Amino acid sequence: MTPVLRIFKEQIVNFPLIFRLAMYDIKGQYQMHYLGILWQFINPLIQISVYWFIFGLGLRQGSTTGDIPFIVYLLIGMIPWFFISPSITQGSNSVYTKVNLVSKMKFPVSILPSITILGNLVNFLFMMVLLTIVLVVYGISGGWYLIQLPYYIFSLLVLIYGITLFSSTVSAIIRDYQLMVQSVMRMMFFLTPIFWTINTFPEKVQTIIKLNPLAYIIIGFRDTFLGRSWFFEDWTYTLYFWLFTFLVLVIGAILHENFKNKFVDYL
Amino acid sequence: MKRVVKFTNVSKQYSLFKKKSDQLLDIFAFKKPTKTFNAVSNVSFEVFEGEAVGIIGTNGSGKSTLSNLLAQVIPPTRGSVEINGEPTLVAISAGLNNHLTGYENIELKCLMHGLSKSEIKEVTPAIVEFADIGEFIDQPIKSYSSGMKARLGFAISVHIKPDILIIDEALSVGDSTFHQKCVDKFKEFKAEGKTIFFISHSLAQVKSISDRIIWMSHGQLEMFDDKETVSQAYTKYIDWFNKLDKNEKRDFKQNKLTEQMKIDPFSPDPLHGKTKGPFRIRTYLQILSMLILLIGSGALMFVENPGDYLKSGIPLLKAEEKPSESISKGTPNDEKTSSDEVISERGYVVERTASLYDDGDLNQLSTELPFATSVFVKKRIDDTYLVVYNDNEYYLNSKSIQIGLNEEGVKDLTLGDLEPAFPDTFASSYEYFFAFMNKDMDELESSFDGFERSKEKDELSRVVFEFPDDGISYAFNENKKAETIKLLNVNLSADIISSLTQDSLLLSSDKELYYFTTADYDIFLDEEKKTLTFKLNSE
Repeated sequence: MTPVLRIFKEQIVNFPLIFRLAMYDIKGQYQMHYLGILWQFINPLIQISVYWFIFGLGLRQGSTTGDIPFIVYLLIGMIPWFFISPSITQGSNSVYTKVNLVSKMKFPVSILPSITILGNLVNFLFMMVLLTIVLVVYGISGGWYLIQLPYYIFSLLVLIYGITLFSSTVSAIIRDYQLMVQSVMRMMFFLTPIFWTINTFPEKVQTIIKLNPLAYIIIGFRDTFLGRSWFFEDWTYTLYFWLFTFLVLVIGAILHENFKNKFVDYL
Repeated sequence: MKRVVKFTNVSKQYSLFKKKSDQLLDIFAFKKPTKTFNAVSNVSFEVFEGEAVGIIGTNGSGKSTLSNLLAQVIPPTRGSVEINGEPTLVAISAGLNNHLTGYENIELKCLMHGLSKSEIKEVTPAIVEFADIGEFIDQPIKSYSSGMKARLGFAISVHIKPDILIIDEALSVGDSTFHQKCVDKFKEFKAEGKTIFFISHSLAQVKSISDRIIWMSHGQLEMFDDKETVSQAYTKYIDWFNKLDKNEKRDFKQNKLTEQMKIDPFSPDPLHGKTKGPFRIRTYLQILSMLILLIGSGALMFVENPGDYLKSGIPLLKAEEKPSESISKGTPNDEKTSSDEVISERGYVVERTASLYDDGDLNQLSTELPFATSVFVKKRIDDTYLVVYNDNEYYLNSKSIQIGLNEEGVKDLTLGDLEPAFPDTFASSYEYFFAFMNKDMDELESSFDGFERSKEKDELSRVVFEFPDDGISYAFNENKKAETIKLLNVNLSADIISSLTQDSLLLSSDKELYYFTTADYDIFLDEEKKTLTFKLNSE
C-alpha cells in the first residue's frame, strides 16, 4: 500500500513539473510540421471518419444503434480510445526513452508516464468539446447523468496511470514487453465495445467482455453521455474495476520502487 | 569543514550475461550470475565542501562509473555512498531535446531540475551569456555544432546552482577560451563553498582545476592526494606504461582485466542490494490476496442478484434452500410463519368461495367471495391475512388467498381459441350470445321472448337467466346489466382446455377451478361442473 501512496504523493508534489514537461512534449512533437499542433486533431478526425464510413455507412447501411445515430455512438467510444491507446503505448515506453535524460539528475522517474498521459489528455479534452458539439447538433443529452463524467475521467486516468507505471517499468527492463503492449492494444481495439454494442451478445458473453477494464470506461462514457445509468447501479462491475486498477497500481508501484534506481543498469 | 561526500568500501559490480534471457533470470533472482565485472571495487574516500577534486585514469579505469555513483545515477553494489547536497552531473549534451530551440531547452532543463518559473526567468540571461552561442539560441538544438551543444549543456548545469558539480569529460569539446571561462566559474563555485568533481583523462586539465586528485586504475583507487603528488606518480606510471613493448602492454592489461572479472559464486546479486530482494514474502501475500479479491469480484459479476447472493451468506451452504425460496414467492402456503408481516400486494381467492371475517379470530362471518376475486392484502398475522375489499377491512384464512398471479399464465387468449371447447349448439352462434354482454335485463328478456328460460337468484344473490336448451345462463349485476355468461357442458377433452389448465393465471386449491383472461373477458373454468364463465373485464 505504501508504495502506491508514495508514488501518488510524488505526482501531486511534482504536478507543475509534469504540466510544463507535458506542454513541452506536445510542442516538440509537432515542431517540424507546418500544421503543427493541428495534427493532434487531424489524425483522430481522419480515423473517425474512416471508421464511420466503413462501419457506420458500409456494414450497418447507416442504420442506427437503437435511437442513437451510429456516428454519435461511435464517437463516444472512439474519443476515449484515442486517449487510452496512445497513452498506454507511449506511456509504457516513457521510462525507456527518457531515462537517459533523466538519470543524469535527481528526477522522479515515476512522473514520466504522467507526463505522457497529461500530454495526451489535452488532446482528449479538446475532442470532448468536439463531441459535445456533435451531441448538441443531434440533440442528445445525458441530462443529470453528465455529472458522473468527472468520475469516469478520473477512473480512466487512474487506470491508465496504473497500467503505464507497471508497463513502463517492465518494458525498460524487458524490451519485448513494449512490442507486446502494442499488439495487445491493437487487439483491445476490437475486444472493447468501441464500434459495436455489447447488448447483441448473450448475457454470459457480455460479462466476459466486461472483464476488460477498458470496457468499463467505454461503457461508462456511453452511460453518461446517453444518460442511461449511474456508475453505482452496476456496483459489482465498479467493484471489479477498482480492484483491478488497484492491483495493477500496487504491482506497478512495487516494481517501480524496486527498479527505479537501476534502470540505467539495464540500458 | 563540512564533509560533503563519503565513500566507504564502495564497489560497483556488473553481471556479464551470455544471453539476454540470463539477465531476466537474474532479475527475479532465480539464478546467481556466474561472471561479474568489478567496474569499481572497494573505493573509500572523503571530500569536504569547497574542494575541487579531479579524477584521473586511463580508459576503463572506472572514472565514469565513479562519477555516476557520485551523481547517484546508479546505486553501488556494495558499500555506502553518503552525499550531502544536490549533485548535478554534466555530461556532453545530456538532457537536451534536439527539436527544441536553445531557449526552450534552457527552460526544459531548468524545469526538470525543479526550478520555478520565476527562477528560470532570472537565470536564463546568465545562461545565454555564458553559453555564448549568439543568434543560434533561437534555433533548434539539432542545428548546433557539438561545441555549442556542450557549451549550452554546461552553461545550464552550472547555473542551476547545484551543491556538487560533477563534470564528466564535458569540457573536452570546448575550445581554450571557453575552458578559461569554465575555470573562472569553478573558482567562483569554490568560493561559494561548493564541491566540484572534474573527471578527465587529461592530466593538464585536471591539474589546472583541482586541489586534490583521485587516480583510478582498473577499478581501484590507486592514489588520492594533493594534486602535485598524484600528478607526479601518474606521469611516472604513464611513462612506464608507454615504455613497455606491445606484448607486455597487452599482457599487463589482460592481467588487470581478469582480476576485475572474477568468478564469485557468493557475491550478492549485483542488481539488487545485499539484503533487500525485490520480492519479499509479505509483498507476494499482499498481491495474492488482492488477486483473490479481484477474481471474487469478477465472479460476482456473473451472479444475477449479487446483493441477495451476498446476503444469503456462504452460497454453497445455502444452495439447497434457494430454489424453494423462489417458488414460495407465489404461494403463501409455504411461507414461514412470522407474526405481523407487511405484504401490501394484490391477492386472489383460490377457493370456490372464501369467507371474510370481521375479526382476527375468524368468528364473525361477514361475507363470501367467489374464486379469483381480487383483494388487497395488507399484512399477515399468523395464519390470517388482513385484506381490503370494497374499501372495508376483513380477515380471512391465509389458505384461501394467493398473493399475485402466476406469471406464466395465459393472458392473450381470444374467444376464437376456445371454440373447440364449446358445446356444438353454442359454437355455431357464440358471437350472438356474447353480443348481449353488458346489455339491460329488459333488452334480453324481449330478445329471448319465446325461449324456454328460468329466472332465479344464485348464491351471490344475483339475478340469473338460464337457457337450458342452449346450456347457457346470464347473470346480472345490481344495475341489471348482463355481467357474466356461463356455459354448461364444456368439452373438457378439447386440446385447448388441457393446454390452458397448465398455464392458468390462478388455480384453486382443490385444483378444479382455473382463471385466465382475454383482452375483454375474465374467464373461469370449472372442471368439476364442466362450466366456463365469462365476465367482462372491469377495466
